[in-house]
Amino acid sequence: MRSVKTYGCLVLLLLAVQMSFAKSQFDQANTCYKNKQYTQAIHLYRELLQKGDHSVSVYYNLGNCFYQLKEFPKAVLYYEKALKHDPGNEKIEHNLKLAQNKALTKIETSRNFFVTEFVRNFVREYGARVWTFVFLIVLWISVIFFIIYFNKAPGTGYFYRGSAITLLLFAVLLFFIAKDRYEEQASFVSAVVLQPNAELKAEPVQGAKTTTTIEAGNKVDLLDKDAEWYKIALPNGKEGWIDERSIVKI
Amino acid sequence: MLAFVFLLFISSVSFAQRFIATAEVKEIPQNYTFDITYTAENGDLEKFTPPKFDGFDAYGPSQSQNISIVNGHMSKSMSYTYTLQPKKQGDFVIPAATAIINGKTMQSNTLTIKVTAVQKQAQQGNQGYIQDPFAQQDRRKQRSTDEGDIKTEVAKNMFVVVTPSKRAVYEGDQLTLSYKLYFRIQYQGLNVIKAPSYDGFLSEEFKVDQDQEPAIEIYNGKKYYAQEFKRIALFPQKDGKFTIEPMQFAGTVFIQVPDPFFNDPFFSTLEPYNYSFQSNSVDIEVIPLPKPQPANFSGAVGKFSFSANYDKTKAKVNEPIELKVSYTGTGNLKLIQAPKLEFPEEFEAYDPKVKEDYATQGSVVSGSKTFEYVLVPQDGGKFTMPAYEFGYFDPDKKNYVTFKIPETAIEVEGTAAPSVNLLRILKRDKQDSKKSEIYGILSYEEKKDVFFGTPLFWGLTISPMLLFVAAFFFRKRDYEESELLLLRRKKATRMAMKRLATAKKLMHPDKEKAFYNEVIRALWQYVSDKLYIRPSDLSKENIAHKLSERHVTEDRIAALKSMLDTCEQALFSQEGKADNMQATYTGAIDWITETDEQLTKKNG
Repeated sequence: MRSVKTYGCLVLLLLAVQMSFAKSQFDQANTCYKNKQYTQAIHLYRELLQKGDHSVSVYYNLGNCFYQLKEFPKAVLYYEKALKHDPGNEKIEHNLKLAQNKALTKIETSRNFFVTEFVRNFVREYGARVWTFVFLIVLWISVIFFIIYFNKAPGTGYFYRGSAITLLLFAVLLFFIAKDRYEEQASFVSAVVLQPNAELKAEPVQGAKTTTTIEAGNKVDLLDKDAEWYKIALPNGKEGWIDERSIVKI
Repeated sequence: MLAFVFLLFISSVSFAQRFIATAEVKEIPQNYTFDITYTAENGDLEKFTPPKFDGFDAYGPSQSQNISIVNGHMSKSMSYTYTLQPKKQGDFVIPAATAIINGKTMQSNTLTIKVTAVQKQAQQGNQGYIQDPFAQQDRRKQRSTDEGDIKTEVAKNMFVVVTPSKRAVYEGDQLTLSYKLYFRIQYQGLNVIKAPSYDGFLSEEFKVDQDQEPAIEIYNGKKYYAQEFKRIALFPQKDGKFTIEPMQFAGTVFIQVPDPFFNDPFFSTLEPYNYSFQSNSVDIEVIPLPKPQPANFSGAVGKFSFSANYDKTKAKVNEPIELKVSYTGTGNLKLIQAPKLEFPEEFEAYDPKVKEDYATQGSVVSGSKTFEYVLVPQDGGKFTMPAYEFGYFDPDKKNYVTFKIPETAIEVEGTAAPSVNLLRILKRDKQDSKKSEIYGILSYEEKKDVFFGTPLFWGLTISPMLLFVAAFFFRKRDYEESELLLLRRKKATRMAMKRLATAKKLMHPDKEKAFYNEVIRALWQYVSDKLYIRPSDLSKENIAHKLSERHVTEDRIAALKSMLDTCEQALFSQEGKADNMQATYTGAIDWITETDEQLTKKNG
């Protein structure tokens, strides 16, 4: 019994030490940043990442470091990573936009059908966490309404029944949105091009025809993989193969 | 044999010697050239003195010799051809040329030429080389077959001169380089081996009419054919001193090689010679633009005029408005970028369409560049379109010039669709941050869990479903019952009517009791089904209470009571009246129909 206690204590202590260590290293990196020692700060933040601390603040601060060093494509990459873990964060969005403006002479965009684009942007505005909470709330309200309906006198309570059914359908939709966002955040679905004027090939072969070149700092969607080649889609809808060394996954 | 040769000689001599001048034309427009040929027939031309070609520029002569032996008679003719270019209009007499033929001084005929007004020139074949008699003289003095000497000799007769329009130029201003080939010897297949790279400049090549007749120009006191083959506009990109490398050429020229035996140009032949050479290099000084540059300076250098127009100042919602911003003038128009205009957010603005039109003839890059914006108003109201300033540097005035579009008021009629308004509000939220600096770093924050997929998440998802199922089973019996009651209520009217229909068939004095029995049951059943009253709870008081609760009027309730009384009386007393049956029947039907109406009206 005693040994279990000691062991538990030890584990807690270790955790605390590790946490405080991570925090102190983070603070150290922040101090470097404030003293404009950006390269040193980058080194420290990256060490934290290697230790598995993938928190939003580490990514965001790394983005800032690269921004200060005027390495804008890399800044875009880290802001995108931060935004992936905390979608809709205005600070990150703002900084990302500035970095994109500096990195790219033109941002490839396509005009989707207005409503689709709006819905998609709205969904992407929030992370899996938010969508999950919304889903649970709606689901619970729906079930509560059903219970109310069951306890109503026969022939009455139709409002509750109707609302409960609507909310349940809505909850199903929300579940899939949350699942989708969760999977998107857990896997790599997009990447940032870091190689300046990276070549987009028609086929995943070195000698294949170059269809276009992409500026560093552009965000692309990953569609397929073949050896060292990724099939990507540009924001304007163009597709092609790119060398995996030209991109870094978000 | 000797005698024969002598005889031949004699015989040839025996032909009359002639010395004639012939002109190609008698009349010639001033801008045309023509040939005059002096021919000595049947004799050895020993000395030839051309006349003075007053009123003409003369080139040549070119010599030709023609020996033919016909029927053992040798006829020999020799000619000198001059190409004449009239200098002015009028009638001219070309005096006689003098020649010594076979030791005899002879004079040619004179020629009269009428020079008329300048005529539009049709292509006139005059390819060749200029035979300047003076040049001929020069060459004669320097006859040499030495390779180096040939090269220097050729270099004097064929070279390329690069002339910049100016030696000092402002950054961004236009500079024109003209490449001109000067030649006075024949050449063939002249190629550019290496063209300069024009580092530090943006270049724009002009179209040069290659087919044009080479003009005659005097360079360093000598006449040459001169042909401009390349003209290029350069726009310096940075200040400093630049040297434009020479352009390198290679080709074949034909040189006159004097005959080693006869010290006479007459016997010289044209021989091909491979010649490579290069143009001169050009030093350019690029002057930086004066500082300070105004904030609105766009980078354009040259002379521009500028206009900006909205096609209308009054529009309806969703009716596109076009803004044309156009720049015309000379200078680096290509570098002009679309003006950055911040339109009011009520306008949907698309990227401007760019129309460019450059003239690449002449020696100045000029043209126009137009940006066409299409603005679609999404909402009604009065709007102020942004002002815009376009600043450029005028190298002639050595100053910056600014053009302005003033703010323009635009009135839009109508109102936006509500959805558009909502979207705009959402959009505005996003765009409000016009901070141009990045936000600072964050302090430490632990990684947030995604929560989706965790055991707690699944617990919270599945538990309400279990709750639902539990609630469902708990209510199951009542639910089934209620379903039955509901069904009964729906069928109540129909069931009552059915019973009454049976009652109608029983409307006969013999079956009086059965009739009243049916009617009373129809009424009880109807009320019971309609109001969810258990059969055990049925009583007149109870019914009256429930009916008034459901907003059935008092007279209806009284009518029901009286009907029920009538039926009971008929059932339990022995006497009956047939006409009563009819009244009871219609009364019951009316009552049910009306009560139905009242119930549906009041209770939905």
